[in-house]
Amino acid sequence: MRSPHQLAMYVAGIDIGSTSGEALILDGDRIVAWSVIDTGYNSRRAAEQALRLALAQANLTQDRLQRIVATGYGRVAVEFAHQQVTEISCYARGIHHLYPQVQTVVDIGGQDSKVVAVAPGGKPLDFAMNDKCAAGTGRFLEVMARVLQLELSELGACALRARRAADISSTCTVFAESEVITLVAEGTPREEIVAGICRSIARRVGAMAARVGVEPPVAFAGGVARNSGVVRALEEVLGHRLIVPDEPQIIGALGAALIARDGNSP
Amino acid sequence: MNHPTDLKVRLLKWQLRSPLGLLLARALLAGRPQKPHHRISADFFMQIARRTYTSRPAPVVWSNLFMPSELFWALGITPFFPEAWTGLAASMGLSAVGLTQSAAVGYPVDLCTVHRSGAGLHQAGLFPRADAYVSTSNTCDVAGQVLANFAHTESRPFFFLDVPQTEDEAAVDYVAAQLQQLVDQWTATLGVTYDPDRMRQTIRLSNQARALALEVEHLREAEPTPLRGSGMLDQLAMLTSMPGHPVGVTYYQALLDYAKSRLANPEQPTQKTRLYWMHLMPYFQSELLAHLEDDLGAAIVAEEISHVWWDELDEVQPLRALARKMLGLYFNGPIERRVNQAVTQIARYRCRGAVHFSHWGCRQSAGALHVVRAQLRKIGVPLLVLDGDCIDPENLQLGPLRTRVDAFMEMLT
Repeated sequence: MRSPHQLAMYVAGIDIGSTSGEALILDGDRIVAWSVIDTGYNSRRAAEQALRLALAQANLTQDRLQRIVATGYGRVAVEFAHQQVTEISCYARGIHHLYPQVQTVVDIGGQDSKVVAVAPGGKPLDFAMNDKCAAGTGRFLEVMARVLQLELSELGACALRARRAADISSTCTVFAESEVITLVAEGTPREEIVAGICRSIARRVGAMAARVGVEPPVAFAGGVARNSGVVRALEEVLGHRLIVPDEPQIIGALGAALIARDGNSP
Repeated sequence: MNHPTDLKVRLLKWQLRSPLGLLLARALLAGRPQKPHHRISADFFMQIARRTYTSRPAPVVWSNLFMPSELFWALGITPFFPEAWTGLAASMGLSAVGLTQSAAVGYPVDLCTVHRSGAGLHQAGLFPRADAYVSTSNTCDVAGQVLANFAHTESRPFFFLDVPQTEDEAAVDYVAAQLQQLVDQWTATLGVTYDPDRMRQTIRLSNQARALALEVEHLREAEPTPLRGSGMLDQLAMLTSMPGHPVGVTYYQALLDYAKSRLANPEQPTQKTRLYWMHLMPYFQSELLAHLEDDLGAAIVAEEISHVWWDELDEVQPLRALARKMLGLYFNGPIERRVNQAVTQIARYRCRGAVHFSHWGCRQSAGALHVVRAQLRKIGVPLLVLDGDCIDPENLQLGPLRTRVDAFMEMLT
């Protein structure tokens, strides 16, 4: 009698972002395993490590994978992948798989943010990305958390406690850091500063979303989607409730795995 | 010890101002493998360099790119278009010299790098002396300011030609009258003469070059298209400086012959997706264009700036004809004119997508993006906006743009 492993057709998607790397193994429509690691300085090594962890969880060896697709800014370093596809296509595909009704996806990662208009089949229709600036990205939150002596994971709850949001620039991380230091010196409550930081990111991403055109339902993915303060601020700016996946970080890897499963066409 | 860039600048200054240096440069260029039309254009610009830097057999007038070149050639004036020469300097790796020099004299960094670099190169002594300056008011207002600044500093005459945003007969009368004033001013101050026969001959040469350029445009409709889009990035300089000069005819004939010869053997062997390119392209060797064309198979089949926008010129009323040419520029007047040109060209060349290269500081182009995007969306053509720089390589790294470009091509295929 054949084992379930022999009947399965495993594929993997690897998303190497600036801050974290994810690997996800798929068998048909079923997510078999996934892993999240810090990217570090070596994208190729991060990809290998993320995949090794996911394979270990699934109790599989790499030779069982039929196909691997790499995405994220480090995708070109993943030479062992069969194909490299941008995170724009992968986020559209991943979100469409989980929520076929979604027409717009916002992704805020460690180093960039993007808004993708999703076509009915899960391909991108249009997109916009942040320009050469960390404002409006996870890095912005990291810098501000350090200044405020908070853990990144504490920011969301802290923002939700605020009765008002402090006014913070959305144009430049370095200038915004100076503003935050000034607000701290003036005695502005920390909650209000954090809420202002979340609103600053939301304003920045909201302007980008307007370029693409926001069609509901709207999903929010990427590591920053874990921050409930940014979720609320973005909902206010966009004027729509946001669908946040249970694991917003793995949407890119899921999209990559789906493209690996279905062949070359993203 | 001198910095290598200083030595390069000193060598170049000597080369540009010495007949021997120019001969040497010409001999070096002649020894390099070049396409026939490139050899002609290189020779043409070397001729201008000789006439502006060394021999100066005729007055030298600096002008922005939107003055009709026919007027200069008809009057026997050597035009110097600093915007075109700044592009040439960028292709020679001299942008940093210009940008550093302009910063030292106080040009702000959010000013267009074409004008900043040009001002710096002039400051560094790499551009020739002007006998007079002229600028039109249309399209780019920085050019007029920078040229007026030079004229003021050097106590040279400056003529500012106001180009209205309408294209009716009153506007033609208005511009033609200013062209006549300009001719009068130059004949009075520069020692040149206006010869109607020479003007007629200039107009005929311009029309011949125009007809050949239109044939090149027609050939590029072919699938696969014969010429690489990245090879056409110098076309704005050709279209704005050659018409009316005999070299214009020779150049466009050579380009046409070359395009015909590449119909069966296209310059770009793999052409997956046809694109329309809006606004400028990097003047320096760019990884961006190589990645688009060679790695992704994007075929840039038509460019906004290489399109022949004007009708045949009337030799009986040459100044009115030149006025019409100036008023008809796609950047002039309502945004619909530019958008309509894009829509027409996209249909004509069967393009699946369009790219707008937003050059740093060029507000007149990027300011219209919302309308351009909306109109192209109506005809189902996605627009990719690339924020970059056609002069400063440090402001155009492939890394930050790669995901945008790759994703756009994934979207189209």
